[in-house]
Amino acid sequence: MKLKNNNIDIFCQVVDNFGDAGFSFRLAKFLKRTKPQRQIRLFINELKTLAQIIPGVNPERPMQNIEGVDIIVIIDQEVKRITHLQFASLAIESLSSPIPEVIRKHVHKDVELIITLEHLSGEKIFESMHGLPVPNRQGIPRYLMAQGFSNKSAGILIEPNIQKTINDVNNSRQKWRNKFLQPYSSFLPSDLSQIKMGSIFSYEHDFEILLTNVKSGDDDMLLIVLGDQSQVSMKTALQYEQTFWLSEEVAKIGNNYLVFPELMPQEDYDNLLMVMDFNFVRGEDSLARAILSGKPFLWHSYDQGDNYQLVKVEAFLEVLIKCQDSVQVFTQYVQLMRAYNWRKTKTDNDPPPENYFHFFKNFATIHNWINKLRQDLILQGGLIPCMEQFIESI
Amino acid sequence: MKFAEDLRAGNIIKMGKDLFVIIKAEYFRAARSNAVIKTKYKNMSTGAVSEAVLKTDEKLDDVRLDKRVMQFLYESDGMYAFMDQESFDQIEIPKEDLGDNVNFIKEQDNVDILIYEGRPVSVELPKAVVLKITYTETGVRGDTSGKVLKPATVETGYTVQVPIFCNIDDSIRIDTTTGQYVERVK
Repeated sequence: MKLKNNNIDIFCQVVDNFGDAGFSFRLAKFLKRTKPQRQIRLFINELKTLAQIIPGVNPERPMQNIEGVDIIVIIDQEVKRITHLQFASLAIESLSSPIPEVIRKHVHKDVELIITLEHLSGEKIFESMHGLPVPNRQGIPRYLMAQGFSNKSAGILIEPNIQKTINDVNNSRQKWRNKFLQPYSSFLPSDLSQIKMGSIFSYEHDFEILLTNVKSGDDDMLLIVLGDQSQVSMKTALQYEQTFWLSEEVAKIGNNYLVFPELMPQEDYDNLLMVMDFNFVRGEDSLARAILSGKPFLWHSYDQGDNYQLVKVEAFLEVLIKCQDSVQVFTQYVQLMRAYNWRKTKTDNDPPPENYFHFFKNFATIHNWINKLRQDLILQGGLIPCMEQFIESI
Repeated sequence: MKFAEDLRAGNIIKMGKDLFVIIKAEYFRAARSNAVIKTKYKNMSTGAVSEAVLKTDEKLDDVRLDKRVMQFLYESDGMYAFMDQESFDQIEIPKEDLGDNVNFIKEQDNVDILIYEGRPVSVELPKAVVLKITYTETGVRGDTSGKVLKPATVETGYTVQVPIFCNIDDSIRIDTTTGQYVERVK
């Protein structure tokens, strides 16, 4: 399909947390970087979320340009102005965000193709939907693209020149670590070279067992705990430990340190994942970034009620199993991933046992699996080239 | 106007000017957005079979259909024969147009046949049906949680995953939308 112009309008509805806004801006930014001459607009229903993770975003301004992306807030007062805009030939419903009803009736004059971009998932049924038409009442051709891990899917969102980014960050690993820890350096040991460093960004979780395992593990650790839900959960668990608060943001249990920084910009977070020894990440966007970091990680999947998120976790493990080289370590990893993602439900009240020791002892082995998965996904090309090829093919 | 989330095999929908019969409808729960439905449907004018994805909150145009209660008589060469319970007229519907519904109807069952402009086009089933298990492996004692599943064949020939405590000759309720086991019926 040959579109009349190269411009792209991305529609994003922030439902909760940071994933919707964060992913959509990342997509917009990478599309712009791929072809700088085209106009990329991000239509979004609120800006407060994005302003917390993207430097320069002013939540009070309905229209602004950040990193080459025109960001437009869809609020009632602006709808009249928005509907007079000329829309791009390609509209993307980011993470299945619908084009708002008030705008939908105006886009048909300009939009030639709509891509409904779905969340990242390894489920086979999801892959089988990739590339199928999504009929709509406006009669505009619309197709579903399913982010996933195999070449039957759209892949994951990868920036142009990813390998250069990986090399650059790895070459300046110490500089980045210093940047993240500098505000707390007076409370931390001067020599951190023997300490294992990890980031924790999760939904609500009981971290009591994690802390017990950290305290009695072979290595001393430094955990950087990010985001309200992780920080509240971790501080609750710390109440059951002998904790020394060295400052409002730094706690010590045994020989281990926990740092509680403010939320950091998206790009800093991406780099943080690359320079840590391990990461705990949450949601789909961070899952993709954790894979691209190449570092061992645990994934906290979005709670879907009735423990349905475990289906998503199993699907991801089915992907990772192809990269593993130790059945014993993988079995232990699977058990931990299942236990970490289990949520209390009306019918299921007995939590499976969590054991982090095996994860901590096998960083090198798990590192190899994640690296292999990263290389496989980079070789596949990722979402943006896949989208371009798909459009050409229809 | 109805929403796509109500769709199931046998439904007739209108897209553009064309009418389509839904052959298969599979639900998928996305991470945070609404569920989507993968559908296989047949264009009632051209006979072309296609696949598409519908968002569950997608509004669909109503199609006016008449319903007649008919008894399923037999299947022969891919055609399903039904008999009108009042006029005793017999009609035939291709298996393909009945979609996954063929898994849930057995001979002698009374079902609602959908009629469009005088032409029988599909069948509408209740949300759940009760069918007898004709074959399944014997379960192992001890598991009563219903979490461990095994395959079971029911009297229509359909195979469904059931809890391990289900046995041959048990009657079970099956959701006709998802094709999944709901409960054992005493």
